[in-house]
Amino acid sequence: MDTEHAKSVLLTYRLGEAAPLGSELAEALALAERNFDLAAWLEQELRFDRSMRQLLRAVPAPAGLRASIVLGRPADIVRPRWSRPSLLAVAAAVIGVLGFVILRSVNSTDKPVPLAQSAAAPSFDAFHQEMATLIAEGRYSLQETSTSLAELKRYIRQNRGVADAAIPSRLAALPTYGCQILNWRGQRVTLICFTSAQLGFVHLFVLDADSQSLPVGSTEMVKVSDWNTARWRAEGKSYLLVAQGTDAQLRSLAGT
Amino acid sequence: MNSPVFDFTTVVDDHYGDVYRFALSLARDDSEAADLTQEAFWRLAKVLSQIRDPRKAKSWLFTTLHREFLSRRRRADRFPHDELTEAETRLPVVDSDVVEALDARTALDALGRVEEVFRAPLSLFYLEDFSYAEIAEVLDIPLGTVMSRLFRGKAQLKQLLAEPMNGLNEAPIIRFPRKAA
Repeated sequence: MDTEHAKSVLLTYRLGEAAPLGSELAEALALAERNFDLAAWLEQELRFDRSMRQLLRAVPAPAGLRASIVLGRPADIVRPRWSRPSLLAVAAAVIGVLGFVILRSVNSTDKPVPLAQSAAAPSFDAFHQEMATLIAEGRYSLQETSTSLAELKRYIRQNRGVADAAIPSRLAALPTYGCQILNWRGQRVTLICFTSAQLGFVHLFVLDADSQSLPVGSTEMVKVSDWNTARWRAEGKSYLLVAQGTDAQLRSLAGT
Repeated sequence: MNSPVFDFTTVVDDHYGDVYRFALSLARDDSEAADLTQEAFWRLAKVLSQIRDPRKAKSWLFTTLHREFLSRRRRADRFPHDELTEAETRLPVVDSDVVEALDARTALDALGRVEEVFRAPLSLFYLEDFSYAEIAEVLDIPLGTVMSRLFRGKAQLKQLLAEPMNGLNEAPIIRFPRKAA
């Protein structure tokens, strides 16, 4: 191997990664140990690579790029993460729930209904557990996305969601991401997803029912898996806040 | 278990800068680079639940972005694909002091003027900690081809930096002859 050949081998040499170059690299490196000029050239090459690497990695991404990726994500890609083996079982359960909901909706009204008066007597704890699990497992699908709370409220109103929710002011000040209208055991539910620099995504469920078990004017904190939740009731509606934050952070957003 | 929404945000935080720089090195245009970056992440969001290894998410992003870039280029037919011919074996000498005196944008401009087929592996070589094998996987080319393209790409880059008269704001001047069909 002559010097020029050694240079062609060493040109793409990266410290600590020799495998693709094999025995030729070993031979070229051995030659560099004996040949001062080749050693100086190699040192120059490695320095060139280091400088280029540092320079190129210093190019900043546009300031708004991260937000546009996260906030601009199409709504339909937030999909249930059902595994294929469980799909049939889940589909059967959904059909059952839909049938139940349809039957119940025949007699439903738009007035808030105390949870304790419903036929199946669903408790807020059950609602809480199901909604928090929905978030923790990512099993929800936002129907509308917008960074404007006003736009989301308009969508919720047009689609018969819970549009007259009393959203705490600190929460309402956060940028929104999207919303979904659900029907839980015959009760209307609205999910509004906010974004927070500290907490990531913050989810507010509004249940159009007055849960007697919840406090009025204060907030209950309950941990569910990795998520923290805050719950309260006000003006005939029940609220559940789900986020990955401390009690203090969630209480602050809830305004208590 | 974290939700996919949370995971997606984490992946974005971890990689969007790197992915954008790779896109910029390919596209040489800020808005196209941002668009390619968004597209890659949005596609990732659709399959994120199937990806368990964060490292896989990173290589998936780079692979997807590179394919999307090539697809757009083919559709636009703005830049015909040049086949490789004989290797450029003369290696211009560039004093590393010259490189150290450059700013990041100029270095990126120089990289952006390297012939496209060499630019992608060279970008991954410099911008990322991808191994040679990972570069081969991202670009879907054999390992030997990675090495030869790195060699030629680096030779072009050094030639660009060695010849100030080339002007880094002009169109690429180093063109390899196109292989006859």
